Amino acid sequence: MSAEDNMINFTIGPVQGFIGQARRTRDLWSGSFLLSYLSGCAMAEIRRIGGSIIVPDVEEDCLLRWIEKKGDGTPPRIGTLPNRFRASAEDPAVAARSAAERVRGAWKEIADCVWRRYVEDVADIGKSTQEIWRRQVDSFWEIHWTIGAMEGMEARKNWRFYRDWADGRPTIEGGDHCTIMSDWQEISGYVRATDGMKQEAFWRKFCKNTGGMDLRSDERLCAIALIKRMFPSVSKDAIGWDVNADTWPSTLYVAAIPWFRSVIASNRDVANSYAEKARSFAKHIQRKGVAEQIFKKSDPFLEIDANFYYSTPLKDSKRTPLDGTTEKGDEPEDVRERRQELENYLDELYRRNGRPSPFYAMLLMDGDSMGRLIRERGEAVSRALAAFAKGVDGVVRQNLGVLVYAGGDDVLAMLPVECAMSCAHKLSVKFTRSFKDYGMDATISAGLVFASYRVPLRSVIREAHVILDDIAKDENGRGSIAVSVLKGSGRYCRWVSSWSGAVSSETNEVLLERLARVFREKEENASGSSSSPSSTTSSQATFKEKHASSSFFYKSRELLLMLSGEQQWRPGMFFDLSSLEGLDIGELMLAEYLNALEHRSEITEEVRATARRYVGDLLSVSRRNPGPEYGRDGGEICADGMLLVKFLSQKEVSE
Amino acid sequence: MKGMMLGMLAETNIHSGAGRSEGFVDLPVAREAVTGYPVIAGSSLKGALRDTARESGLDESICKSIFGTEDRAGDILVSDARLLLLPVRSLTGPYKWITCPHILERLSRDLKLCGLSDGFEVVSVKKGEAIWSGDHLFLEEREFRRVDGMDEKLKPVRAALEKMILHQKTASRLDKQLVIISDDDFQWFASYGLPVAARNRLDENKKSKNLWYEESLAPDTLMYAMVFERRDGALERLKSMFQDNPYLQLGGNETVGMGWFAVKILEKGEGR
Amino acid sequence: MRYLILTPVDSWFFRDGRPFHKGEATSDVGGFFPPSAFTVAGAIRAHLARSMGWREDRRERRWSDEICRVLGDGYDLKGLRFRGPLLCRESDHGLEILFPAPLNLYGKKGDRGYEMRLLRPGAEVECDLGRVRLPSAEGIDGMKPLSGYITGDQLKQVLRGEVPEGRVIPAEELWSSEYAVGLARDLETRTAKEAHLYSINRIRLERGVHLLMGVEGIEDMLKELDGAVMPLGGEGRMASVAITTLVEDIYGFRPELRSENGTVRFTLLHITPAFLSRWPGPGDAIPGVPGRVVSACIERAMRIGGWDSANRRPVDLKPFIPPGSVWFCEADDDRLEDVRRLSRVGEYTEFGFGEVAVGVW
Repeated sequence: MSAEDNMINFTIGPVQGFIGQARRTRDLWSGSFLLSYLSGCAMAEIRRIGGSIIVPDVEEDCLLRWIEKKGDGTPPRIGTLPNRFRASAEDPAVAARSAAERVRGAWKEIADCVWRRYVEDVADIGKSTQEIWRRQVDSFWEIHWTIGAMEGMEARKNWRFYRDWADGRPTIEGGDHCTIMSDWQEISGYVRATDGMKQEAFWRKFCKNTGGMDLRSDERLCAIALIKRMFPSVSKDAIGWDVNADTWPSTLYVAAIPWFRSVIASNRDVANSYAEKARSFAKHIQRKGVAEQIFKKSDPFLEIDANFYYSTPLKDSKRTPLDGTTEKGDEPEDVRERRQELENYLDELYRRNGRPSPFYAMLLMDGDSMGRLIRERGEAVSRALAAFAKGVDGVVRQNLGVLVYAGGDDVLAMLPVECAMSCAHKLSVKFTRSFKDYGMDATISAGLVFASYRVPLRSVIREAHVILDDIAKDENGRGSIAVSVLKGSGRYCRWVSSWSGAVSSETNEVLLERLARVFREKEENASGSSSSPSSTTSSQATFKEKHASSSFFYKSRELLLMLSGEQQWRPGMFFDLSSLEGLDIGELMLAEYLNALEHRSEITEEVRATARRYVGDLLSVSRRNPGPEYGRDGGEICADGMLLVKFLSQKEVSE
Repeated sequence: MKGMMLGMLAETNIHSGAGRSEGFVDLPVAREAVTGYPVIAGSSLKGALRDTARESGLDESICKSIFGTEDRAGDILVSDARLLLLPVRSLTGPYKWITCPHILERLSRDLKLCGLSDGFEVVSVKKGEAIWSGDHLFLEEREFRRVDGMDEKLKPVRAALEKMILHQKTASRLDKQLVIISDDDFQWFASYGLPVAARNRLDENKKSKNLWYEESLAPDTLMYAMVFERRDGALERLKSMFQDNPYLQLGGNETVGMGWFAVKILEKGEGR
Repeated sequence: MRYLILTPVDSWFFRDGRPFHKGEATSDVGGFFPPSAFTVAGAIRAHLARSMGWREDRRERRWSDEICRVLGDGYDLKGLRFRGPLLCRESDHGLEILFPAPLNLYGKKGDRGYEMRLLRPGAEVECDLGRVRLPSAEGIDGMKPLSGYITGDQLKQVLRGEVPEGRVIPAEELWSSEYAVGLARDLETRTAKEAHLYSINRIRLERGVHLLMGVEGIEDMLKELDGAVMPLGGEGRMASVAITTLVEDIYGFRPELRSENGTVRFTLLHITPAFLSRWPGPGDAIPGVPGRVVSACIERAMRIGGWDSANRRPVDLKPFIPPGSVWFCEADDDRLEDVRRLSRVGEYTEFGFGEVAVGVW
């Protein structure tokens, strides 16, 4: 009997179906945490009956210790255990079966807590609510395990069949469907087209029971989405400790973090009195505890609904109601005046500190070829991963971000735009170094999405997965980062490179961020300091300078397109210019660049040398920089590197 | 189902937005996913027709039955407005109206769907070549070779196009201005040959608050759309709307005088 | 059987199961393609009903008895039979039907094009399903299931148990999805109402790509369809119809099934989605199919519903086995003929669901 015969490969899914279907950041966090928690329950069970967890290394994992009721200190609120793991046990099949049972039990406990606290009381005005609830709760999870080599688990995933389906097949979902997880029926059981009033009454009562903040008026959810939404409020009963996640920072809040720092540093009193005023006009907007997690301190200004930091959502009465605003967004005169007062106040803050960015970053990272490495090196991989995992939260925090999940070789975090690429790079360096310490070569790839708050969260998560798996790993190769910019109006650009192509070999800076700084400074120099009142002449200068860099980027793309002979440009498209012999694309772009400067006097050698350096850097991020397994030369070139620089350099980008 | 065709000649700039931008242009026009040709979505066109119907004084209940309501489909089905002729600057004389075999093939098929004709034979043309009545041709900065001996084949195409233009005088310009180039060459002009204007919004201090690039279809762009009826008489009603005032306003920026089409209705026979 | 070639007049819009109510902001709706057989059959029947005098009116949602005699009512199709919908495209040798790539076809893009492998039941693995021969193959490290479409010739190779020549056609080469923002404009102010903004995905087919739907039982009404324009799917989008008889089709193609020690081994490949009242596990029987399941490559269920316009309510979302899924089965060899005759499994087969091809492993 070989050692493999004692091995259990255990997986809980669906990952994307559970985590990715989220409307709020709290749903995203909650999904990640719950999945991690359930996986931890399986691990705890295997350990309880004498088995041990081989990959990942859980010896120092805080979440597992709390699940095993051995926790002390601050209870965990970030998922750190991956949904798949490898363990060994004397009788592996018995242990695996028992672990699966424990997962089902823990899930049922959580579901029951939500049911008892929030649903039971409403269920009697629903139509078969209990039946729908039970059906969905019982059949949701896909738990599978195999004994022996890891290949067996890969094979198992081909056959989506589970023993716990009550009807021997996936459920039939009638009625109206959940507004977040569209495959599932919403639990009121009514159909809006025929029983709209009853449906509305059900959800109105439900909202009332929860205090009104947890559900939007147009949200009608299935059991699964509801459990994710309400879990933070029942965690003490459901899992034994308080996760303190009632107030999870929204995407807009994360986007504004750098702005908060500048406001608090220079205009703290004005800001805090704005917050007091806002709170007196709208009592429900307090977000207690948010700032504590991110800034380790609290100010009134930092603890209100993020819509109140942005003028566009603040103008939208339906989206951002004040006391006295109706559900449809109608407002009596006095409420409208109060809103106007807030808008004026906010404009004053903008005049002093500029505007916060409407974009945030979603960062998803995943180790490359981990399966093969685990097969070859086994427990050494676990230890390297544990070493990596330990520092992830710190790196994310240093870059002003919020960690959502970090377990095994996966990372999910939200960050402000300006720090996101360097954060990803630092994590990749840390990853590679952790493996080097155990004598292994390993890389991690990243999918990074810069998204406007207007883009639905699930589209952002989906994009992050697609660019990580398809664009970075598959197409560009191991150790790559892919970046997308999603505006409210669509995908603005999509760029990919190996880490080595993305980073300056001399200074170790992320090239794109360096370039973005250069172009931003140009813009600022032209327009003068943003806090000084601007005269008409300087506004013309701004216009010209913005126009100049825009037109340079614009023309460069046209140039590439013309040279490539392609008829249509799409984000992420690479042009093959290798057939154009004797073409010096660098010289061409340099000429365009100098042309766009709209100079009045002679161009000095110094200006030319600086320009040459910028254009050189721009070109190097525009070339195909593939991962180590692809030997493609640099004949391919894309326009998206320049677009990304343009995006990162702009102080104000259209949403 | 019975169908009719609307020939739509742009009299002003038209901006029918995609609501989605990719790349540099902040507000591009909507484009077909496969071809990249500018297009006006059927739903936008239907909305514009409905507005026109209301303004022309059509009874609200009739409007509802023609255009439908939330829980009932309307009596008409409206296709996208698709591109037929694109005006392009030429170094050699006045601007040219360009089109390509793919577009003409579609037109030919669509004429048949509306029961308007048996269509016409579509000519083929190679990359870098142009079928037209003149000789040397520059479109923007690109040069095209003229294909000889095509005059006879050009006639039925011209005849079909003439019928789609409201004003006789404008239609007569087809003789000298119609150019057919290859699908590939055309795609380039359709993708990059549209006017892009930098627009600027100033705040109260006359400071540039927002600068954006907006793409539009130039005046004299010719498009067409099809309307089919689910119930007899709906097309008649729609037609009567344009009798006194053959104009249609469509797309954004109505306030800055954009979005006007001159509409020519083509109708005949029994399609099914 | 005659075939309807359905071509979008411009684009199509097919919803997934997500709620889509006017007056609520909704994003990213639609993009479901190819449409379900319910949708396509429904459009064809509605068109024929209109030609028989039916008016889509508030008062007259139901069909007359005369129409019901010919076209059936709801799930009852009377004498009507459909096949499909399948994708097809024009090629040098006429219309070419495309089939979903089987899920046991793994591959990766290498320096010299595609490298592919076919999975088949491997050695027994102890797992949550018991001791099961899970699908596997040598040398699949770094490979993934190839999603997309294959031609009839490639399908024949797969059914013979051979790795197909050439490559799998990715969906991107057949259709694109077109994102559009719709908005309800306020009549008074002419501005978009924030909550009424919605974004949808329309489907636009590449040139020469069509949907194909086989139909039987209404021969005398085909003239009503030939050359017709009819609504298909949502948003009032339309299809133009042409009628054809297929020259070459793999329908009915059966590879040589061998029996060994009294047992015949065969695969069932789902060509269209199938509804089974119970999904068989290892050792179970597929309803209506001889023998038992040894192994399978089955994707997660696709839930198919729709809108019941007669009763103004959504149709239940039912779980269907997605096309491309494969069963590996065994049967006693005296059932060989029954196996050879298999072409449909599960329910709603008269609409076109449940079409399977039989192969060897």
